[in-house]
Amino acid sequence: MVVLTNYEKKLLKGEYGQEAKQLLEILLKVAEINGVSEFAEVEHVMIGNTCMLSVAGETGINFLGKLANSGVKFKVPTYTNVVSMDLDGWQELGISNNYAETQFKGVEAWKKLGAILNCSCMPFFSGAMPKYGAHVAYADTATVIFANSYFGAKSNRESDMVCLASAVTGRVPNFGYHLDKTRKGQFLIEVNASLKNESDYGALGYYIGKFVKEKVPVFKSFNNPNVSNLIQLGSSLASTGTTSLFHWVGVTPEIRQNPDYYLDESQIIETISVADKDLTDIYKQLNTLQHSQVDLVYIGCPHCDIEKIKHISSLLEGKRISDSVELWISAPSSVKHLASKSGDLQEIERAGGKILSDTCAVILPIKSYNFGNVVTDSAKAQVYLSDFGLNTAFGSIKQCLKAATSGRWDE
Amino acid sequence: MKIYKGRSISKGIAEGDALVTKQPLSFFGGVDPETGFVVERSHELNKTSITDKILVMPSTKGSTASTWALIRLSENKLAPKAIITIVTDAIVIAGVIIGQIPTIDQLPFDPTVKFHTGQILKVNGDKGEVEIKR
Repeated sequence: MVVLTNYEKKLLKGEYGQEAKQLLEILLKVAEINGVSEFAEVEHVMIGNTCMLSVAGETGINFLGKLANSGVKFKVPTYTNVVSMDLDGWQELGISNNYAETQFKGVEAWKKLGAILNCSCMPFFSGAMPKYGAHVAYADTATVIFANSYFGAKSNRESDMVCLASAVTGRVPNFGYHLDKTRKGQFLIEVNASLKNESDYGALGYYIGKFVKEKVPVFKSFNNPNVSNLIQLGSSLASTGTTSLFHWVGVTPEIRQNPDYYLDESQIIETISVADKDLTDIYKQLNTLQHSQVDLVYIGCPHCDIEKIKHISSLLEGKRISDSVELWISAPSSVKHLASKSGDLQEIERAGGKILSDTCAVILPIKSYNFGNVVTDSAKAQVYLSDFGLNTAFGSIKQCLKAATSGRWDE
Repeated sequence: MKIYKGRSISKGIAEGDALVTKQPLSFFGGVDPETGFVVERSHELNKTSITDKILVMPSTKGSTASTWALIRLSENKLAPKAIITIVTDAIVIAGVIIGQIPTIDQLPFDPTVKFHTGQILKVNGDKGEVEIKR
């Protein structure tokens, strides 16, 4: 049985209203069904879908509003995920006043609760720097897997309400990926394919996620991924699989520090070899365009950092986006601000592109734009957008920008 | 009358017609929050209303947004009266606690085999029990 603090006992009694009481009940029930007798202190939290109008609806926003009015404050630094519109440029995205008003209510509740308004799936680009081994509570799949794998921080896919409860209490049920023993590799992935750019890493994750499902893969390869590569790998791995952790021999910190523990041969269920052809097949498989005319080019799932924005801006130099195409690039507002200072935002806008902050193509009410054909550099975005019934193709940033300027996908 | 003991997930007591499925159900996308009908075409409950039923299913599947879908069903008075599952996750827990839908799991048998659609079941979410009334 979990021992509650005096404050938590008051929350559970309903002294701060029904919403905080329910959050405590959820936290305790999640602990109970997972056989957990203790909570871990979290360094910080990132809250999930609660404020996304397109996902949680007014229901989520009303819940946040009531919680904020109860006088409760977030106990630990609490980062926020994307919302369902650009908080500055919502009008240019054709968002109605009513919709915006409701979305802003949620944002106001966040402010009152003390949240950090990074509004991004990549809180790391706005200051969230989990310490190696630290417990955190995240909900977004791309955020969780990157924190676990790259930083060696500890989080499950905590779900919206567990994250919110953790923000209020500063604690999380201590099970799953919070425990070292659950973080050992279970699949060995020998990558013989040559990975040339970020989208190749996305294709690799897409391919492997289907095999490993909820289990932990260990990658071994002559390729030496950088941070952006690992972000793409993790986000696609966690969209076709439900795993929230991978290791890469010689690259990610846990396996560098303790290779024999995290790559323990006796724990490996299966070894998979990946050849160039496996990845070219994925690119083919993910192309569901009905014709070569492109309506939307989408880059920024997960959100772009400033290096990627600068790369895009340099590729667009002297070029112009086709009149029939929208180019959307999503990033946190902190990155957009930097891009504005360096002139990269202006260069992208001059070419006819848009940088969307606080949101993304998956969480905006995307169906209302009636895009038929969408191309993206992100395997994760491809998975979600095709689930929404859009025709999609997936390729490198260069291929995507070529499609943006020519209006056609000829790959 | 035989009472079967499971585990309480969400409190409350409800009695009603059982609606049993052996297929996992996604509340987000799989059920229309404005009508309470299953809309997932490939699901065996497609075009069936889950409103006011004692919904018996193995588990949920799919999106984390299922929490919100359950709460919305509840706000719209279209939720099941109670839910019986084999396994429960954090997404359902949040939905049924905030949506105030009595829910139990971990019965000593597979409830999707033991119970069948049309039986009258009484779920006691406080005690984690279920009783076959008829």
